[in-house]
Amino acid sequence: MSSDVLQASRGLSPPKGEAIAIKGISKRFGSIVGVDNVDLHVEAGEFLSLLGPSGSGKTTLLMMLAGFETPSSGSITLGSRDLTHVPPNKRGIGMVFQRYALFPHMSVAQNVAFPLKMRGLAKAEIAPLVEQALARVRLQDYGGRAPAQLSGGQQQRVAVARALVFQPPVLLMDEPLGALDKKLREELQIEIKTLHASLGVTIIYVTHDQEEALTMSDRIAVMDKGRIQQLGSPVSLYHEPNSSFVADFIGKMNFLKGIVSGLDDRSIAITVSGQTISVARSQLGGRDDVAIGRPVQIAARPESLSPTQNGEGAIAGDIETTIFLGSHRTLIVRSDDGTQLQVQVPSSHRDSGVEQRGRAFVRLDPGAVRVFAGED
Amino acid sequence: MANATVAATDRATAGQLSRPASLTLALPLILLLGLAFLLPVAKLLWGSVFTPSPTAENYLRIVQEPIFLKILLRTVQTAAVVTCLAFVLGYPVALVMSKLGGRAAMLVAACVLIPLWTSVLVRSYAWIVLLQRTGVVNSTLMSWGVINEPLKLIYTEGAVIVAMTHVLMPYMILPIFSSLRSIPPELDRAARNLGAGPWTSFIAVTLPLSLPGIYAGSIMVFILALGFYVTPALVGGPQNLTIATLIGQQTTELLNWPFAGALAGVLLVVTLGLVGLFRRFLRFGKGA
Repeated sequence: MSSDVLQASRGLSPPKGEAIAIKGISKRFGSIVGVDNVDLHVEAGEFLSLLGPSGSGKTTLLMMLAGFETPSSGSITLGSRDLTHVPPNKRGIGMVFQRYALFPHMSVAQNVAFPLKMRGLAKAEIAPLVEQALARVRLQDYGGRAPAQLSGGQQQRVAVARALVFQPPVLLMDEPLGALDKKLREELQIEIKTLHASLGVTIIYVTHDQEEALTMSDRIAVMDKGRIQQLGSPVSLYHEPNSSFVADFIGKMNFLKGIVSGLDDRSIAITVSGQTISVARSQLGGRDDVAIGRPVQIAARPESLSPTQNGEGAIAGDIETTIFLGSHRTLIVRSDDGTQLQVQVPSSHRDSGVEQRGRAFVRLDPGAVRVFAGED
Repeated sequence: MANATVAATDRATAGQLSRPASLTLALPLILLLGLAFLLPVAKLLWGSVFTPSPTAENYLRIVQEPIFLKILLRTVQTAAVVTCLAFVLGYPVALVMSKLGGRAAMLVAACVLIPLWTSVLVRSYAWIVLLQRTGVVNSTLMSWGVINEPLKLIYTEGAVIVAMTHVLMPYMILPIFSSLRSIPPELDRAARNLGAGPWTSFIAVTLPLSLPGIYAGSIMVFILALGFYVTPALVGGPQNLTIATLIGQQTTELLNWPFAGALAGVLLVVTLGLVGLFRRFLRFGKGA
């Protein structure tokens, strides 16, 4: 296998991402289950994010992929190669750490040369590859510097160059932008996306930042309690969450309490805040556990709520505050039954008749909500 | 004036004392060190040159009589061997300590620290108990039938080296431990991920990053070993005079204070010289 990588890094074959198959993998720490029977197939060249709160098992899963943790059960396959019991240094997978993990006693160029040296390349072969890798992250003039002389963003770019210089089929990233400020983070997100597109490497990206996951990923695996709660494209996760956890974790979400008041094969009638709305059965996320009289949760994005002039068919409440966010404003409305609602209004909507303070009527777009039944 | 007051208040709020106040606090220690340590040392060194008329006789004697240079050389040699042994034996202990967590780490730390808190005298006598003719080592070996006659263990150079290594080992382990602890654990992981086996990762990353600890520990052990008196005096024989025991002999038995002063002066210069060399060598080795 290492000869494959060697060949690739000598430029004999173009770099290609490889698929990763994770089958029934679990990791127990004593009586605590870190990762609970996870199945995941990552396509070759895919950008997949593992998204979840801390303690959800996403980092443990990544550590098992890197070989720093041994799974309690299950298997990991890279391409056609079983990786489950291969030591980390024989996996040939690149990795970028949250706190850069550059070797402080080596120059930037030596850091990038390290994986090539480990693969036994001659000095004459290493130099041009290092130069090329540094140029790829726009740091070609920084080879002679010590890592400590670089800014956080530059250090992380060196770490990316180092992880990619040996042209691994897969790159693991463990919250790589977590230590950087927002502006830099957004810059680097684009840079990583561009690198991903040009290299075709498979990327598995761990983050707890849902915005980051939405921006960058082909698919997102939302994790909680050691399991994958939902796997899908950013669009499908955003619009069709299958549990209130995912609905709440991704993007901003309003939750309203409703009671099922009517049912047929295609649609469900729900009474919410004195109004009755009708939704399609396909808008039901998760368990199909509805019956007349049963409570359900209605999840509505701030952009699927809109302020309206008259109270007919709308939820009435008081505006608590308004938050200006540039392209839009968010009204925080306390409905008469006590639920707090975030309502998104375009900025140009300034004179739409909705006062900054006072009464407001909020209309719900029934076609854009998700309904969760029998969860609590 | 107003500015000075402001500065003083700033320091006070930052939990710092003004210069005169901190000097006042340090004064008792300065006085103690000055009167009880520096003054006698200065007097001893002075006495080696002025007896009472200026003379180089004491220093010439050291150079002219080969026995003294031999002792000096042996002292340096012993200190070097002890430093190397303490490093070879101490580094793995520090490494294990830095990787352990919780209760196990405390246990190892206790094993390292308790000897440090025990008097050197007690530890040296313990070695006598172990190594003497009828001591634990000899009687055990004889009862096992490994040897028929007791071995000569005590009052040998080997005994001095073993006992000194034991006594000085904590001074090697603790600085190395603290520098190992400060290495972020993901550096080793990064090295492993980039293709280094456990051993290569240790050689390429962990070892070079623990050099400051190795340097601090080695210099501490080496300096202490150069001037070590109690252990060589107790477990070493007349054949194993070190410069410290020689100085002791000159002052307590022969009452030749000027010559003792000259020996002490030479030891001081040699120590400072070797430390300087060592420092340069290590800085060079770091490539910085």
